[in-house]
Amino acid sequence: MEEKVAIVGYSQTGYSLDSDASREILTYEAAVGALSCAGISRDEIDTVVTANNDYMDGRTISNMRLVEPSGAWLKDESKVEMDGAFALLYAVMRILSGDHEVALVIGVSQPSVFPRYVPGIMMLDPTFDRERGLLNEVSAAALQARSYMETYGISEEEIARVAVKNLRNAALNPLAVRSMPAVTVDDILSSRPLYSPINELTSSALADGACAVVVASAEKAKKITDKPVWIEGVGFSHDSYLTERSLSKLSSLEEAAKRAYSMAGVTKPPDDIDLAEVHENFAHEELMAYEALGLCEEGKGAELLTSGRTGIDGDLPVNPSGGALSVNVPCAAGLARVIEAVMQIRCEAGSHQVKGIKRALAHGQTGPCAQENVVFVLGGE
Amino acid sequence: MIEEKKETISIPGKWPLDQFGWKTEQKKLMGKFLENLKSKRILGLKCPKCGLVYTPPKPFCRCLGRPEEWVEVSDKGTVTTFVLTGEWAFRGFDEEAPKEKRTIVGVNFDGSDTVCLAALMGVNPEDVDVGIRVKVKWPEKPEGALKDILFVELER
Amino acid sequence: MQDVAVVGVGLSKHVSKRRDVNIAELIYEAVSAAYEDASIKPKDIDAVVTGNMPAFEGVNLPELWGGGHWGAYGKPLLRITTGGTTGGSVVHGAFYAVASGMFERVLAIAFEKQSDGDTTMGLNSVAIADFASLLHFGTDPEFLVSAGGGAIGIASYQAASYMKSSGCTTHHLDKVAAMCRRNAAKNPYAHLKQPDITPEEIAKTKMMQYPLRFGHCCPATDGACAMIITSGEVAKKITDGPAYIRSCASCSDESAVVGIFGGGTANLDPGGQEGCKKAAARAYELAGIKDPRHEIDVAEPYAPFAHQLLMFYERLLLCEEGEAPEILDSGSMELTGELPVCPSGGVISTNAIGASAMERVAECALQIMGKAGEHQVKKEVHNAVAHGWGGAVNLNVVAVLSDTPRRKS
Repeated sequence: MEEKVAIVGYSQTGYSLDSDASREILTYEAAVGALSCAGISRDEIDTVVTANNDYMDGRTISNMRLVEPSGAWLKDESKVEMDGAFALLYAVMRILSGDHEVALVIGVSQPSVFPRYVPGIMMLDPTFDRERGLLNEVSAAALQARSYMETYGISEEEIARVAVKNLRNAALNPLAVRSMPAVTVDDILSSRPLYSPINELTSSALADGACAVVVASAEKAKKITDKPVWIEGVGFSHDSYLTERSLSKLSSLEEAAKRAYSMAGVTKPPDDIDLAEVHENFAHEELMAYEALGLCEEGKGAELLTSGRTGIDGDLPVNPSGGALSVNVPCAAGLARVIEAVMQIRCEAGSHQVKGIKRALAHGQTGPCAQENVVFVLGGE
Repeated sequence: MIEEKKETISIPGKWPLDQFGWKTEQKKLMGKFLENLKSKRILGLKCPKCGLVYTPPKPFCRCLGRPEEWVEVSDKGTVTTFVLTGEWAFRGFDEEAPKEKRTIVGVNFDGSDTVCLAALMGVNPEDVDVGIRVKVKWPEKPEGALKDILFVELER
Repeated sequence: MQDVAVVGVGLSKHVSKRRDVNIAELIYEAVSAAYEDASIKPKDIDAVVTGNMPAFEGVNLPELWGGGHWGAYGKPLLRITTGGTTGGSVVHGAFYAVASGMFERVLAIAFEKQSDGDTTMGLNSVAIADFASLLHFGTDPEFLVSAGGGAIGIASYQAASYMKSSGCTTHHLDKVAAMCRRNAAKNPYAHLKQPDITPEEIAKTKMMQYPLRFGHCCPATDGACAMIITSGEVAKKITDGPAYIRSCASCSDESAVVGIFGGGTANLDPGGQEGCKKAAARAYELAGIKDPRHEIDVAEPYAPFAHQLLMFYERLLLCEEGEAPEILDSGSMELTGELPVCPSGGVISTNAIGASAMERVAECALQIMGKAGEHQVKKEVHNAVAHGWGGAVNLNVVAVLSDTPRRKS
């Protein structure tokens, strides 16, 4: 896709485990921050798309009270009930239609407010799975991890190395809530078990917060900033329900990546992509993502990790920000991956900056066992 | 053999809203607002960007400005809308709620740009209309809570 | 930007309790009807956009487990939920998916199975978080209960101020309700069909909250609606007379009346509906409609409460402010009139909340395509406007449809 839509501003509020702020204030801070980063006023925004989830917010029509704090007063506003990265996708569609030129996208949630497992359990099949009471987001992911491990002969140690990489990277990211610069594989494996093989440290660090992105048409983008980050391709897909699909692969991520690559003209992902920010709710998901994204052969995710190539000093860094393992705001984590990728391309990533990033990939997911995925291919000038 | 049934089986479930702990960091702003109610003063918070005055105070403005200037707002105002409670009100949250009929009015206090809901006392339902003037019926000793300004009567 | 057209509409049976199907099966009814109407197969669909109000069925993201019933697995899917405007927002999502050029054939689904949940609780949950704060700051719990939560409470506050500003009387409300229920009797998919109802009979129903009587209010319905939305090019291959969606616009106003942030200025006049006027103006502008009063042939405003049909007729810029009651009196809004309003019977006759705003668009499409059967209006339909509102009546969605596309192809 030639230069049509670009990200021109972004903002991540401080993330915290238990924010002393309401959802509205978090949204407000993100909106104000993104506009300030882009250097534009609210008047220049044509449309606002928020991402939040009624079951997490504990109220229906969860976007109703976000109109003012998201800057959407008297603007064309909508809400996607999926991860913020999907809200960005919707905003991109709005701009590509030609009816809008500048969009503000915000993702927000507060895990400190909702009972941890309830929103996830409510996503399950109400007729059967919920009644049996065996599944929740984490136990379902544990089944997926086991399935992946058995199919390809991957060990828990290999999965733990993802956590080691990301949690050490997090030490360089001031926004991370879980950063462990000296963490080892043993630390990971001996952390509190949740559902085997998943431990506390191989499971993401839920946090309160919000993040926002300003995205604009080519014409506007060039006026707004001299560092636009072009959306070269985007793809998304929806997989079958978790008990009706093979859990050893992330098929919808593979689908989504194919569409994004096709749009972006990416033919050899490991060569064409300089850096990837992957939304990994669980450590094993990152290994599965390597394969689904075509960064390595099927079943070779752990090998790729062990080779060091996806480390922050490698030639294909993945999650230099620390990923969702170091901070995961549901409904915003995928959008945060986009923001981190944008920061890398614009050389604004501070201590975790990787040099010379021209083209990056960002991924967001929704649903148990990464049932729905969206992939962006982003490129600098 | 699976027999096809005419009716589905119902599976009970509940959304445990009692387990949610919503946050409102209004504490500082509301603290000052409620404190002033004790001396029968109603305050509003003004947005420096667009000048709107919010009563009760709101930490952000629709223009994305941050209201921060305290101003005093009158305890007299105009009714912008009203409702005479009936069946729906009684099915609020509480099955045991009193079935007392009430006149609920939206009051725009002079000096404020927002509307506060209040219960109008001492007026026949037929005499209620949009545009009438009302005044807060303060309790003897206001305790610094929202219920201090919840009751209004006709301004004399 | 490519043209966007509706080539198929599917509706499930709409009644107060569909005990014979679960959510996925209910939607399957609508989806399979849409596929048949458009003569399209599930494999031809490029993308799916779906939505409903999550609080009623107790399922978070129902498409995760139900998608298989609708041909949605393995497809790009977007979930859009915005309260009462959900159906309209889903149409907007499908519109942009096609208009952007990214997709050619999109399946849009909106539904509600209200009987699965407790409608009052579900609607009240919109304000529960605010009620928690209000109680914390010392409001009187009895007062909170009587102030009434959810969409219903807001509408009654709105009725009083609208009636004051427009001269609409309770008799007008009775006439609106009767007109809609009579129209609904001609619509096989409507819920409350009352072919012989008179305004006098409506006036005798129980008072719910002044000025709204039971007869002035919508029912709670189980129902689903599906639409097949394609590009103009694809539409021409499928059907001779598609209904084009020329434009979509939404506009959100400040929330409130009830709640800790009830201090929104939008409710200085809850009947003002600045958002609706702006959305309508923008939709007409994009659609190339310069004189809606004369160019629009049919209107489907979202009016679960009788006064809203008149109020939104004005806010959709179809007449001057305050003029709607006399237009109603003139008979122009009837099926046989100059500008029929809610020929489907409207939301006041059928309200599966998540689906309702989409059904307004679907009904306009059916009128343009000449497929509305017994409730097809007398006059020729070239342009139509569909509308939805949601939240604390602060969210508005508008769509303008036509028998010709926005640009010459």
